Amino acid sequence: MLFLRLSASSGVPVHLQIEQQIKQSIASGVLCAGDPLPSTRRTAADLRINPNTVARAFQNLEREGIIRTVPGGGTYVASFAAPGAGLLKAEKIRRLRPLADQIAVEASQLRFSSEDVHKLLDTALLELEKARRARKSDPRVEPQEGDR
Amino acid sequence: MNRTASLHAILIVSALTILPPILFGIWIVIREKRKAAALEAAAPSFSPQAPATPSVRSKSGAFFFRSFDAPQRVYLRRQRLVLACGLLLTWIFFVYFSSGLMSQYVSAYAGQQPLALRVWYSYLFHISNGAATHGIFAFGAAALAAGELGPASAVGRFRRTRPLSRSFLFWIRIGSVLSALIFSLVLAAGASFILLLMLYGPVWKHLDHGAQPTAALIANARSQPGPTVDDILESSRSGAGHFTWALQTSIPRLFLSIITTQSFFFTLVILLATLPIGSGRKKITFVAVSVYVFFMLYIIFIVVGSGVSPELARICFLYVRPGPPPPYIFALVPVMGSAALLGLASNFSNRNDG
Amino acid sequence: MTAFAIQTHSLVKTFGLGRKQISAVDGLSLHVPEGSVYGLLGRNSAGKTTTIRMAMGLARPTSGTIDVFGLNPTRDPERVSVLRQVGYVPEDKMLASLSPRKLLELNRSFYPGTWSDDLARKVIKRLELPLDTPYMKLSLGDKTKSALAAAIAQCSRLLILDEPTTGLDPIALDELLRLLVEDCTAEGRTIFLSSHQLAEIEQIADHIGIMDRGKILLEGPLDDIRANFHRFTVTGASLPAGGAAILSATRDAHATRYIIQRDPESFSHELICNGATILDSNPMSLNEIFLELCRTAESREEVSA
Repeated sequence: MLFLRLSASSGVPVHLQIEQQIKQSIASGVLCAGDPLPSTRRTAADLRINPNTVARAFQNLEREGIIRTVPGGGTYVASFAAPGAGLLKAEKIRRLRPLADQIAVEASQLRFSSEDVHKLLDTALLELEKARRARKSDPRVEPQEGDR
Repeated sequence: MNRTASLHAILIVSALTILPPILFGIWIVIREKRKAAALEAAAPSFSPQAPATPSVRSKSGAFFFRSFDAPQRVYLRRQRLVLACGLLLTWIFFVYFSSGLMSQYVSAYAGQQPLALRVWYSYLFHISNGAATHGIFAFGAAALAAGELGPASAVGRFRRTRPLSRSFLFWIRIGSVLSALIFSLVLAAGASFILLLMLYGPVWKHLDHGAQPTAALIANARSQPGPTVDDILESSRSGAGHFTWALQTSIPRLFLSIITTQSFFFTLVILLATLPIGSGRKKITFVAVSVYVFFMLYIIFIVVGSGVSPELARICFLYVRPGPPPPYIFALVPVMGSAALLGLASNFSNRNDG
Repeated sequence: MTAFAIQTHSLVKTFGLGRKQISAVDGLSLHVPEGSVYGLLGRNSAGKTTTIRMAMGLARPTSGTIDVFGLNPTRDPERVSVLRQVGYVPEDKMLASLSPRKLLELNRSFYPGTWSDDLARKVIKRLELPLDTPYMKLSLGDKTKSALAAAIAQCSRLLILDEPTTGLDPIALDELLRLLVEDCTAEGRTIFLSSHQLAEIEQIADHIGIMDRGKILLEGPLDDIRANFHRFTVTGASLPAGGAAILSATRDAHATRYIIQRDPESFSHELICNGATILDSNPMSLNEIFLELCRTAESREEVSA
């Protein structure tokens, strides 16, 4: 299920919001490897936004190896081996550096100490892991039981 | 002529002209209301039966629509309404043309003269003198035609945003209304002539039939009570006048004059409506003023025609009272004038905002 | 070289004569790329409807040019070619005074090549359009829906919508947006809409034009515009009072508020390098961008008048 919630005035470009939320869904286990995604047009219509925006988000995600399009049509979440695997550490650092800079700027503006920032990051990673584990052991196992 | 008799006659004529259109209109409105109510109750989904456009394969399509493309055919089909109005107009003109045959009018002219002369003269007089009344219908038709072309009309704006050229819209609209007008005049003329034949026979052949020599009438008057000698002399003078006029009047040219004059005024109103002067309130004022001016011009024309300047009337093929007719060739004057006015109007209409 | 669905060059349209002359459109240069969803935003008498009427051939420009698909829409026969490819919803939503069913039946015969009955049915169902209500009894919203159905079912290459949200309740508005995205953007089709409803435009448009007093204040891809505009609240000594990138600078006792219209990163970088402190930094919504631009343009007019 792809439930995206977009905010036009959050300052974050819409395509970026889509990318982030899809990544979020994958990270927290809502979307699993191999899950199908609705078409660009379908997603755009459901969200009432411009199809080009969705296309751009999907293109970016595909470039990062997070989703893949099949030649016959159809978009799927890539298997977990792919994301990050083909990326060099340098590339990963390049990706995360701006986010780190942003946290640094915000924290210093708000006079947040370095330890508090570290604590914040740890908490966030922990919660993400917790959510993923919770989804894995969810009654989402049902379809397999039914197949028996 | 007797006052009450003439009032009577006018009432009859008015009732005859107004009644059928009103009844027809009421019938249409009731039919539409019933259809709308039925549709609202049933509320079927949108599944139109007809093919998207009037196809060339239908029987009327094959002949008429061959050289037009789809949107043009749709627009042409809508002009059927104009033909229907043309039929109504035919009836109205028929009543007016035949009003001269009513007994109240026949007995009004030169009472001592033979019936044939009186009928013929009354017939001619009423046809030629109805110019003002005919003008009102010509004006109405022009207003109807031009209304759709103007910027204020929503239907007009709808048509102007479909793939149809402006000049096509203009010429088809004006053309269909004008031809309906002319056609109705021709049909009405023919019908009233047939009515004359049915009621009185070919009266123009027997104009002096049964006329008594004036001398005998005077002799009679001296011996018996009744019309005086002066009355008889007066009536014989006017009778002679009527007789001459009745002989001179050419019925085809009379009708032709009506057609050319009314067409000319039709095109004049069209031109006034398409002039690029003002918009909105200003346009309404302009139209009101121009209607007034038009009417004044019209009255002047009639007056010119009826005696002020017979020369001018001849040149313009204005034939508004029984008497010597203008030669056929002068019919070209109003016709070419109409064509010129239409050309100008077409130019303005194509360039107008709206 | 992008193809443009609509393009104007120094377009001017004046009404009236002499002293009472009004310039509805005053040197407008608009570019609507083909395949885009272009939102024309502007205040009430900015000249949007006049521009649209000129694109539809309903009004003639006083000077300048306007092209639709490279053709001149104000002169026959090119005008007819343009009209074959354009669907139009006018500002007053009055197409013809017919019930919606009759209007659809009439309109479909004008566009035999492209009309889709299926799409018409879809629009009718989604917008809940009452088919057989006579025109006089239609509410404003229903008139809008009727006009929209007639225009959308044409499946035309360009859809020109003048205030298409008039009278629509939130559900109908939502359905309209869904329809526009689903059925009117495929195959390189263009949507050109003028509106006050900035929130809705912001959602589906990918290009924006902001118009005021007959001129374009700002035009371009929406993402770029949103990235370029930024609001900063800054304190410090020797703060810049003006500059190419600064749209407006408001000073008060404690801080200066800057509205930046270009390259906000380098501006903030420069401020920091000069020792200023950025107290607050926010992106701007389209609504805020629109308000700032119009207000600045207005105050500039007052100064020069």
